[in-house]
Amino acid sequence: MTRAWAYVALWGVMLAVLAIVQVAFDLHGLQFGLAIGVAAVILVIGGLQFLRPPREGIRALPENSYATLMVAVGILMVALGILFGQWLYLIGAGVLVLGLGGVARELLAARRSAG
Amino acid sequence: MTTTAIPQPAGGIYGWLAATDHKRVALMTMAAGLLFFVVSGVNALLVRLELARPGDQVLSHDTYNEAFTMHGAGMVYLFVTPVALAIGVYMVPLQVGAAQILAPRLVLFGFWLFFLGGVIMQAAWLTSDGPGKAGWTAYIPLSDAVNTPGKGMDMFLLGVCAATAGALLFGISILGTILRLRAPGMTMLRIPVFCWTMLVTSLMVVMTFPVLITAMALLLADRHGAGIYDSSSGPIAFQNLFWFYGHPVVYVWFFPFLGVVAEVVAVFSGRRLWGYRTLTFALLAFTALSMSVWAHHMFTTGQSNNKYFALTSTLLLVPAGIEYLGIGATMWRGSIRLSTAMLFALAFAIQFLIGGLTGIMLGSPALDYQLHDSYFVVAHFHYTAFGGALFGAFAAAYYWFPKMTGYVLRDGLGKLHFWLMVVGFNLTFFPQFIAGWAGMPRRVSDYPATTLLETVNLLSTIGGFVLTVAVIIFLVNVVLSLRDRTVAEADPWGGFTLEWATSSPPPPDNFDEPLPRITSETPVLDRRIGPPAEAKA
Repeated sequence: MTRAWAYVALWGVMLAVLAIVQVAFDLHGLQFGLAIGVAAVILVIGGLQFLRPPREGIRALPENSYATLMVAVGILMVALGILFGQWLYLIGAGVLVLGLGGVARELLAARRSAG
Repeated sequence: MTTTAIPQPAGGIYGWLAATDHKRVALMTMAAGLLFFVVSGVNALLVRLELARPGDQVLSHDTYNEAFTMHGAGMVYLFVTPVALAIGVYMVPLQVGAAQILAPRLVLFGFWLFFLGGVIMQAAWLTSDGPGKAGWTAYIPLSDAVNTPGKGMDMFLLGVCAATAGALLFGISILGTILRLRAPGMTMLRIPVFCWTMLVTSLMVVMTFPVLITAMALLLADRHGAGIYDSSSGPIAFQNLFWFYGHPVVYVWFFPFLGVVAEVVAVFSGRRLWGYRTLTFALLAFTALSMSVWAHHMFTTGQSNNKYFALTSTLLLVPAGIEYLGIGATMWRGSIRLSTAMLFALAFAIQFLIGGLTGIMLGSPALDYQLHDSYFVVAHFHYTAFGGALFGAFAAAYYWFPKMTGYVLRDGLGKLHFWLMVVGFNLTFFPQFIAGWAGMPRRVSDYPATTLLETVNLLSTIGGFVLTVAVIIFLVNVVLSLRDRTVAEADPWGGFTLEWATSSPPPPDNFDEPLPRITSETPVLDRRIGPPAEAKA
């Protein structure tokens, strides 16, 4: 159960080996950087999994989360506002703030019910 | 991990739009993906109509560019990728015995990013300059503000970023669920093979999708004067970033369906998957190699490490061969039932093999210089993406539809759908190998009026319409099966894995009954006939 990290790390080692093999050929900086960078990130993820064993205990789950939906709508309205004008940007920012507030409220309620 | 009891989810549309139940989010993603599939399919039909004969038929050159761009982008960003991951969102928590997916809000957030991203991308048709028209790859300088001006291309890029971010969040949740929410007793070497394929898929998603989002966001900024890709090496840098996502994403469409096919073949052969442990390690090697081949798309640029990428591309044959051996050996002396799901699984294996072998041809720089940007590449690509992924998706649909809905799809209509798909698919795409070999370039709306090119293009267009009929039959089958219902049992196929240990469809918290004891990767089969010999030992 706790050895899931080993498989992630093994995959990271495979990526690192394949990246290092590039050195034996005509090395291209960006291509080598991408490959070795990803290998390093995977090894870090494996390490985090090793350091953080699976959680135990009770977790409250909401049935619906309209606040989450509002966050998504708000972010995309802000992004579209950059293309279509400040009015959309500002409305989107308002929706985003409301959505984030709603998510925070849900999380606090979940913490209270768990406690 | 235990969870609090979840109340029965609300019915009606309001119970679905903001549902945090992974099953509902997955079903919404599949439905939205199907919608985008139909839209992208219409674009494909327009492209095929234009190419049915040489000369101008139904589309202007500009609209043709928009149609093939929106076909490719729609299929890649809005259909195959999210649907492949949505199957994991639905099935992974069930198969690992979890009551929920990790971070349910993140999955819901991902769905809305994906769906609204798709809407933004398609809404670009309404702009005066039209939608994206620089291909699904959006290569620079074709996609810059000079060559493709207007808000439509901006919306295309924004839509790609949003939809890909949504898919990324799916991948994060699936990865976390497998690593952190497995049922007691389910070690990594006891998770079903589908979960293994989703694990490696999610690892690729988590590592490569942020690179595409970055590349596309930088391109959007570039179009508004940021000057990021302006240097002489800018276009090559963009290609590297794009293909660092663009090649692994092909495997994001392949591996989940390889997992589906392995499950289907095992269940409908009545045998455990042959060489489970070998296959899992081959999967790790396969995906590591998949992450190391991207620049074979750039052989002809002269700015790539061609020898290295030719080597890694060819090495893919080894783990692929092991996977095929495993599937073939599972069927050997099995009690094979040729259900519709099994037929789609077998067609997946054969057709993807053709795609894979022609991929090895394109992995050779010498051949690639001849075939690059020709219709041969289009045919190869569709043999992997359509012949592989879509046939795998239909295998999953027929296999898991009873679990997801509680009703069985009609077998007769399913088999008609299958045979029309096989005929239509091969009629559409095999002639494109010949067209490419004869030198026809891709992304052109006209071609020389030679007997060979006219014949293969006409055949290809006829095949496209046969495929359309096949897809319509599938949709009719879904509607009829949901209207005139044949109720499915909890385990209609004699399944092996934990999703078959719960009702069809599963309750909100996935399992009402205690889970069977987990001593292998096939706990439900073990409960029926006892664990395998190595588990007893």
